[in-house]
Amino acid sequence: MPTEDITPEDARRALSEISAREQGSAARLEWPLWRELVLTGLVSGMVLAPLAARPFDILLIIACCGGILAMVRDYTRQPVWVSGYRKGRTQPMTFVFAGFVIALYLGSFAGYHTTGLWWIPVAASALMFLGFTVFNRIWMAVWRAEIREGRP
Amino acid sequence: MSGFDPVIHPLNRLQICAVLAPHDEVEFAVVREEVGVSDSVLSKQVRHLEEAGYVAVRKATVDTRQRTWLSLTKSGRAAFNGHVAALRRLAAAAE
Repeated sequence: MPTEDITPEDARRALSEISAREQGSAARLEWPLWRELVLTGLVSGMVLAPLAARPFDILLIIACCGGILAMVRDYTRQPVWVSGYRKGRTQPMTFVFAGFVIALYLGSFAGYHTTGLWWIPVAASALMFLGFTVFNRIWMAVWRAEIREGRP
Repeated sequence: MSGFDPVIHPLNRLQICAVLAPHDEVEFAVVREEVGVSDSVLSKQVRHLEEAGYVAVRKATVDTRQRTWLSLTKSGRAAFNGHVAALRRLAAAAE
């Protein structure tokens, strides 16, 4: 269709159709509580690894990583799925959170091995559980708002 | 009109891109329900978008069933965003 044949009214109708389809599609994304709890548990569980003696600390990390990979594989086989690294307002949030996760892991390992205080990995794990839960909710809210407001 | 994309503009293709845009991947059956067309119509429109390099198709077997997911490629996402921006400019110019 030549561009000059498109009227402003056509453009408005097309935009309205796009918005309806985007919102209908976005409403299909499911993030059930069981998936959130299992994933949050695995991510937080890994922070407790320093408390276990060798080789159980390494086995715990391997088991948690395996569980996370299995969860990701299951998630990407859902009818619709969206990555945490998608472009938009959610992307910088994801990078900031990734930094928070790395800092907690390193803090847990370094803190326990230098001081021997058992509560450091426990506190880091609890903080991870809380942070991951809050992050999930904020990320989803920002993503839904972005879809509602339309693309740039 | 800068950004206007004649490959995307036909209604069904515009709807397909809009269904795919919020996600990384969307299953073929979901796109069919959202767009409200038959399998054959959707396949034909997806083929057009695939040939333009705008849509990628992934197949996987889940519980012994073959399933298909569609996604916008990087160039497809850029073309769709450009097209939406062109429509917005046209709609705004008349206000």
